[in-house]
Amino acid sequence: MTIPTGVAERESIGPTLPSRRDILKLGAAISGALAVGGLRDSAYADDEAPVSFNTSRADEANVALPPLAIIALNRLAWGPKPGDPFTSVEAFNALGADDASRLTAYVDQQLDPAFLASPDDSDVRIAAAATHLPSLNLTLPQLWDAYFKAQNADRSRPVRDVRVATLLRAVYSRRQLFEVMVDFWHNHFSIFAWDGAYASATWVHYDRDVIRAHALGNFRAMLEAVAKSPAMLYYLDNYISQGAYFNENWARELMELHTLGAENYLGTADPTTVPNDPVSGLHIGYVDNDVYDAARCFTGWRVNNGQSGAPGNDGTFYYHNPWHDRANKFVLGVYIPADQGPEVDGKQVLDMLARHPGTGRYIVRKLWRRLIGDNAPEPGAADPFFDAVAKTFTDNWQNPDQIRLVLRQLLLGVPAAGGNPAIPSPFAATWGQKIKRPHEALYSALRAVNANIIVDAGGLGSLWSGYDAIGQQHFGRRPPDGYPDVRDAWTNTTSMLYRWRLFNSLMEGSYYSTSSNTGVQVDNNALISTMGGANTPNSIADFWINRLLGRPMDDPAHRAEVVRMMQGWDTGNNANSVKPVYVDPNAVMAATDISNRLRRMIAVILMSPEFQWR
Amino acid sequence: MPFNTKVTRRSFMMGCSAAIAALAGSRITHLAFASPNAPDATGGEIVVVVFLRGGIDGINVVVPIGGSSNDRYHYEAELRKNLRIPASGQYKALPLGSLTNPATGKTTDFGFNPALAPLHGLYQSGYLGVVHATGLTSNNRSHFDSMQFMETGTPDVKTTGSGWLARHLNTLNMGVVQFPALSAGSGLAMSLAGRQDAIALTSPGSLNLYTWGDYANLQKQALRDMYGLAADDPVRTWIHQAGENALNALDIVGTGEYSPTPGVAYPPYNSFSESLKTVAQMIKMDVGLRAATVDLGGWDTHESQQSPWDKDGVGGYFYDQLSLLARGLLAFFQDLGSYTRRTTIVVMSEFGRTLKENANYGTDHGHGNVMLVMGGGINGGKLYGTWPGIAGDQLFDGRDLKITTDYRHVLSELLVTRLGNRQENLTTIFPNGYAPPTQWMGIAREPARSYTFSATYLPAIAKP
Repeated sequence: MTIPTGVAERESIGPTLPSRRDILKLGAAISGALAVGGLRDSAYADDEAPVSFNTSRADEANVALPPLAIIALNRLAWGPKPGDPFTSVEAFNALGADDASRLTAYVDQQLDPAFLASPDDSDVRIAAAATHLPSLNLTLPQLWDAYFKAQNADRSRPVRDVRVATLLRAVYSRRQLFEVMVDFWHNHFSIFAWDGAYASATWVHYDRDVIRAHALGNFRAMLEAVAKSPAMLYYLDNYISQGAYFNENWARELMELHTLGAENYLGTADPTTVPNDPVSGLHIGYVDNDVYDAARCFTGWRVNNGQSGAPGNDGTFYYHNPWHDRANKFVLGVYIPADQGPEVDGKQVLDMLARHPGTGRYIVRKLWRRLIGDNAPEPGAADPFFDAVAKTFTDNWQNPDQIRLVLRQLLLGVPAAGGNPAIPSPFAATWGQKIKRPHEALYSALRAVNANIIVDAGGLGSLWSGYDAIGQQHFGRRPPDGYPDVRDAWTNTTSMLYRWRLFNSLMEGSYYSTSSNTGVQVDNNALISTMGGANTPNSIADFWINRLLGRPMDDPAHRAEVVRMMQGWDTGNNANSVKPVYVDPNAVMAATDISNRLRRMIAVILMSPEFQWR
Repeated sequence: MPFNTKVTRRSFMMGCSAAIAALAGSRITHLAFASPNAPDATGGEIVVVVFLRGGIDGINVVVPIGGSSNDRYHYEAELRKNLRIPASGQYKALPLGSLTNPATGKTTDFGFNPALAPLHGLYQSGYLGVVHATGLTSNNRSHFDSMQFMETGTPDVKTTGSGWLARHLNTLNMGVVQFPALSAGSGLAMSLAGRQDAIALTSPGSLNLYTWGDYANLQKQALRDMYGLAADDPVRTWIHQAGENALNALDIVGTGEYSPTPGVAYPPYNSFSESLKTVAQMIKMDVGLRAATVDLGGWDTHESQQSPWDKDGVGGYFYDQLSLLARGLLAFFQDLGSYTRRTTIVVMSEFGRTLKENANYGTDHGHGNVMLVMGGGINGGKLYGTWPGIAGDQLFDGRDLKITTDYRHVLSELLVTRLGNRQENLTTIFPNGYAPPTQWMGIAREPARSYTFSATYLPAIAKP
């Protein structure tokens, strides 16, 4: 008498939430989902700095600055893609006569609406895989019907589909900076999407209509779309927030994580004692009372879910006046009168947060961490460049191209204006501060080797099952703060080993030693055909070092290891030998030896320190 | 061709005590299984946290079976008509002792679910103690929130950046240790978040790079050379250090198959046993392990906790899962042998379940729960905590077992009395206004003992 499969498989008895249960059943999996790489963003750490075994940590000044194409394509794209007409090293270098003009041309091209509107390889591939991605083109009410309301609905289907589409876009789309920014905003407005409930069922809507629709546009507009999305309403509990029993979860994270940031939190002070910011006229920061009153402003913002007086059941946003706390409120020094019209209180809060200079500073600091390095100025530190970009963010809070403008300045520098001189951006001179996070490691490796991703009915599940162990499951961050974007979060033992393993697995074509194909194909013959006839350990190694890294390795000893992967070695023990050994690295290799060794050599280049920087 | 795919003896020993370093020159595997009775080079107590994911049904783990109170009546006649564990007969609960409700002066006797028979001997010989009516004092019945709060050690605070175990290690002043912390699982437990030197692995065998045959060594040597630059190498950076740490872990822990103490029988074919073996191996290797986490999921028993035909609570899903827990823990304890003298095992879960069973032979998310504490330094064979009773007016929120002992109190007591930390660090380990207890319950035993494995394996009670 056994029930071998445990609880989760028997879940279909009732319309409950199977994916939660699946997760809970897998003890190991959950700690991964909860914590890998986790909870280390220094902005939210309340303890002393983590103690590290490493007592000496060499400075990044040791790292040589690579060509600008490498910097730009690793930070403003998901890595160079050899042969690509827009995002290869050659394509970048063809954009201008010098670095400055190339970078400017690249950024302007990537931000150009016409460029972004043109279909590209990723659209073709997604269309070709349409039968395996059934949720991608559905509207919010259609998603709600099919994946939330339906009997035995496959509630995680939309998030699985978005995940596959995200991979295809990251690897094949020419809209690389856009995709990087989509990733940034997803992480900024982070939601644990694998909830088997509102978020997972409507994830296509959140990805397409909330994040992608505004990723290069206007922050205030994106903020309201987030606030009204069923995914966020559910995730941060505002969908049940009513009247005197308001739930503060959303309002607190809105201020702490989405707009002003913890750097502008002043604790439990009396709100009437907080001074005004002279420019905006708002309080300089927020206190707990602002959280509570903002939460009251959002009471009644809920989901049309067929319950508790909802007029319908289609998953859309709606304002439920009976749940709204009608009394007056006091937020950031602004008196909000009682009995305003539908949504007015909440929109007023969003306006205040969007135009508050603290929001500009907080967002630009995060953008700096994402696109430049971990050296963003600390809160309060004077930095003319940073201050100017943050001011641009705030000054343009109603501009539909606000985010484009900010990115352009952050990456290319602040132009001279009104008697103020131009200030250059540190973008092009910053390197060696950050390690690729798992997303970047995965995408950049797939791009570097021009992998062919075959979407099947399994939605690349066997790729994900191994990938998730590195600690950045897509849309899988449990707390609302998003995955950390500082290097210390991604250098622990598990993260390093599993990233190396990922590269090996990609090059071997399967995640585990035998079966379970990942859906990622790296064609050996195609690799060999690109080498232009290189046929010695030296020439093959140099070809691939240049192609994958765009520059020589940092140390001649590293190159020697790559060459040796082609040379083979003889330990005197057949089990540990790779024979024949080409003692002369300039000897012509037999075609079978090239074929047998090439993938393992490429894997070593991908595993090298040089490939990990961003 | 000279190459060395192992971490050098010297680099491994850096930071260890001179006495141990004097062993340098012998192979690294000689360090393993070195000195079971002596503390490791940094002299330390080890804590192993077993987290039961999903919310275990504590009232059916440590069951009210009698006493002067009416709790047994409430339990079997009102709350658990179908899911009750018998107090008499062949499959009766195994007696543990009693607790007194201070409000009523009445006693309640408790017994182990018979699935815990493998642990009953450890209880009787004093290596295992039970804390009842404990848990997370938060008004929260969400799995994820509750687990997060418990593991960060900060109830109701979602933005805590590190775990309580990490802060324990941070405040421990243990010197430089190669591998102080381990999560036996695919990811780092949230309780260890914040420790850069914590490693997570499913089993030592999982620490491979997934290359095969001849290329594996060649590739590993390449990694060694690329990441393991000398400290004064001009191109050495933090990324090389990170890679070198990982390679060291690969070498020291990834040593292949582990052989438990002869005669010890871990339950076969499950990841819980693999995790426990991984921890046991790391402990026995004396590489400085001070904190380890192990997960066992599958406790979210909303329905079919047992089936109508599983008479008297013996058999069924919950029984089998509990039996796995018990057999695994017993094997682990036996395997550790004399290392039990400085090992403390804590078993906890994010919340208990509703006292009243539901209509589906299951139970829903509840509140108060049990914790188990095991070790050579545990004053076991006793029930700890304050029993609040399970009559209608004694419940939390009208339906759940009350929490009378903050789980942090239990951990605090262990931290100070067993794990080498200090009272003044408790508010760092558990920040945000936590008030540590002013009086210990007396869980620690002085001096600690070493458990001797007698090869007398206590099998789970035979199923009907």
